[in-house]
Amino acid sequence: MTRTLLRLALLTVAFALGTYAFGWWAVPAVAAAWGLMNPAAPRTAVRAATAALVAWLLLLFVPQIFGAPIVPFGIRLSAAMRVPAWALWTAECAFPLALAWSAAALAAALRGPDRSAH
Amino acid sequence: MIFRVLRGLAAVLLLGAALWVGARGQGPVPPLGQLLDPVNGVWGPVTHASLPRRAAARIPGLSAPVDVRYDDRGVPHVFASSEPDAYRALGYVVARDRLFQMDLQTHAATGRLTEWAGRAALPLDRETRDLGMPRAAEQKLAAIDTTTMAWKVMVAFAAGVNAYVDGLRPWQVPIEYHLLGVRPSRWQPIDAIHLFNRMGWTLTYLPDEAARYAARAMVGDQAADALFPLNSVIQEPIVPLAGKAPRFDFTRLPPPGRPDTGAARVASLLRSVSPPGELAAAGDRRHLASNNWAVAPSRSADGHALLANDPHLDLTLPSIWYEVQLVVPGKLDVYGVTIPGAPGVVLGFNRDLAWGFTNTGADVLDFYRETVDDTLHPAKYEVDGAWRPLALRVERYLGKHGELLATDTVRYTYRGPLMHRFGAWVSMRWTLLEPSREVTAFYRAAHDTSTREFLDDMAQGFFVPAQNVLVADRRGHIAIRSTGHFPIRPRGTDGLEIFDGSTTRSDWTGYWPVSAYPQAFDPKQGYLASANQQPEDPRAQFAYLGDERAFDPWRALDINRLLRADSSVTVDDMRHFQTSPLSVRAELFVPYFLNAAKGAVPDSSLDRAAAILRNWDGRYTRDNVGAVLFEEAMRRLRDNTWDELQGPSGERVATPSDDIMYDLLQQPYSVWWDTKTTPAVEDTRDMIVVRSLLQAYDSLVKRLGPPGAGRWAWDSTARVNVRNLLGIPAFSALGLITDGGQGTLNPAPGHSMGPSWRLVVDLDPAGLKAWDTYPGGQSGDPASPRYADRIPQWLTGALSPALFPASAAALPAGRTSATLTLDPEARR
Repeated sequence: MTRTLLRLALLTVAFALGTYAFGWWAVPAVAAAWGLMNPAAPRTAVRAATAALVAWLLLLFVPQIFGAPIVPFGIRLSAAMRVPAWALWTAECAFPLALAWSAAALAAALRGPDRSAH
Repeated sequence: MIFRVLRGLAAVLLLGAALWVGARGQGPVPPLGQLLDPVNGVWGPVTHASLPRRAAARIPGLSAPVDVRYDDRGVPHVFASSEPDAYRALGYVVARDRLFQMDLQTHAATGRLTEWAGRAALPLDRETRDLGMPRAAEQKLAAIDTTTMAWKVMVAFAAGVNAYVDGLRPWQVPIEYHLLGVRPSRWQPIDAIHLFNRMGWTLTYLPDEAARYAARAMVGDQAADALFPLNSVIQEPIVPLAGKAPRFDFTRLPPPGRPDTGAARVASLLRSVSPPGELAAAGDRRHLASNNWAVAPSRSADGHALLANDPHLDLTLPSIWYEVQLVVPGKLDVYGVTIPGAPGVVLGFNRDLAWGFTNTGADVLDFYRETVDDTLHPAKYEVDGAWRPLALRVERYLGKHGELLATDTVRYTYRGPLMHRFGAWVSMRWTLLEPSREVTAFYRAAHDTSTREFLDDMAQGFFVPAQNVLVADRRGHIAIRSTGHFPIRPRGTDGLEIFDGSTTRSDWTGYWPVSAYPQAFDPKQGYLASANQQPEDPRAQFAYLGDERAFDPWRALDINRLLRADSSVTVDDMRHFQTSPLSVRAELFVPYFLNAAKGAVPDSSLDRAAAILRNWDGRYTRDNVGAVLFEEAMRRLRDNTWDELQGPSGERVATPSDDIMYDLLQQPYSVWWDTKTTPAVEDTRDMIVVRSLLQAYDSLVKRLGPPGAGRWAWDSTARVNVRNLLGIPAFSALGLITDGGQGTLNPAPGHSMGPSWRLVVDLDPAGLKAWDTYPGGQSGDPASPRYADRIPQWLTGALSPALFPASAAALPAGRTSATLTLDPEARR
């Protein structure tokens, strides 16, 4: 259990650092690497998606703790984009989820389709 | 097995879709990756919305380090050791705060908005290019002497901007780029010219001759010319009157005559080349309502010259202005506001003098009906019996991804661009399209030490848009000059007609000599004021500058009265004058409503309406009831009086100004008062005035309830909107409450235009002091605390002292909010 959590935490850090250094493209790249390395692990794609989401939320809300007006600006930003605030936040979460899940699932399937379904 | 296959297929499809939408966007959705990335996307500028306390950057081409200190109002004070370094740093700091605004202005001025907004922007871009603005900028650039300091300043500024653009980290890319899904452009020296062209377009592309022609089509030439005269009925000119001021030049308005059938076509043609938007809809230039005035030491409380300026322009977020100080010890020390992208301070002060502008409103644009060889695809045009080839320029409009959206061929005669309107080929001559040297003018002006020197430098380089340039210096001199290129037209003509293009006899023969410009130096009256009124008394010297619709007498009356009444003006008085809600216009018109009501058949509504106006103090303050009724009554009065100018659809084709209405009020039995829908001549002035007041009262009761119910407050009917440049409401400040109304010195409510900057300067010989504000903030980042932080102050009319340190050490440490060190890039 501890080992699983540690792996998940490391994966989260990898997503965060990758995004910080290379931008959003790092999400499918890290997820694909994770899928290739762990084709047999249980719920490979789901874990990748969860880690990517957590990484992005951390990158967003840690600055909020230090004073960046992320939440209030999000409300204005959604108004600027003419979408409800919940739609913006949903997209903000769904995008890394979709990228990471699909990249990890695909990579795992390519590497070892028989074992990645666990 | 099927599940696995389906899952794999779903993963492929989802990944493909997510990558596609992430990288390219889909339809109106911008690329989501660039947008939603929590570090490098739209959230990046939010996370970095405040300038870091300390920062450093390297700029290629700097000769020595530059020290930039931001004060606690976000104003950068640039301390450099050479002028090119100072302008390089200026480019860097302006880009740091306003990059998107600069880029947007350039795209607009070059007709390249389609590259950001796609086909929807094509009409706007076509207008810009059809007017020949990008071509004119290229010609101006080609004419610049590259050995001059102006050129060096332009190049240095561009290098500074590009140093910032090249060093941009993804999280520094302004939010608007993410929303549009585009990337910042590099800055070129020509972009400064594009910017000045754009400003000139705003302030001079107002071909409002159409109103007079439309009126001629309804009421004949003589009546129309009287309704739209060349001179203001009310004379309170910029150059002080020789006699008692103000002077009312009332004339008897001739009755409506036979319609001029040819005029309607000309009016349509002129309207087809008019700009879209509020100004065109309003039909005159009075919303460009700026004020400046200066008081000589003899009339100021502290014995120093004082100067105030509040240029009225579109109120936008970010603001059109950016505040900055440039210091090069022993060479340059100038403070003021620049338009982001302009390589220099446009309005402000140095150690010796202060200056301010208002728009002259001069007519610097004429049309010529050309004779062409082919009505569909002309290649030649005829001048003095000979055919000349048209110059052709192919304009290509690109879309967001570089795809070709449209291709046009714009034709030019030697006068300017040629347009096909209503079956006629019309060319245009416009001072904006001709050589000018604005950068030189501002560069020199920043160094000047006396009023005369300043005005002469402006006159030698600043040609368009013509401005009433007011200047005061520490030695106590004050001066004003309407500066710009004013065309000399063929004898016996003015700029209100469409000229015959087939002869050179129709051409301008030059520009007015500077000695003929309206100007005044150290007048006896001890003050000078301009508020877009007619610059010079036509009885003293008449030369056509534009028709009276370009000039507004009301604010000139307001400010001159305030200055006349106060022989001991203080800085605080100057500030109060800028936001005075008192209206001389109201004082002149209200008695006519009251007298007419007194003589009318008793009516309870009329009595209540008259009581409101009687008790009104003539002020447009926030909770004022009288101002609401008065403005509605004036609107009804215009509707009821100028019914002769209603077209077949019931819409009025043109509306004479309120000073013409005031003239008509002196003629109680003029046929203009009569309602044209009734066969007999039966209405008089007082009948129409009473009818207008009653209609206004009844309509307001219907709309807002009884006057005592609390909804008749001026601030509930007229508010200020400061709109985001992209028109995004969430990034705008809307429905703001402040004092002021039509014809007052602070005429912001009800319009998108208003005092875009307020400055008061005390030219103390021991050291100049200044106070200022503008409706916005220094940062262009909507997430920044400095995006709109000055608006609350601006609404109250308060000003902040401008810190004007001579050296970095002189800026108090407690007032320094951030520092930026710019170092020369190491030689490779």
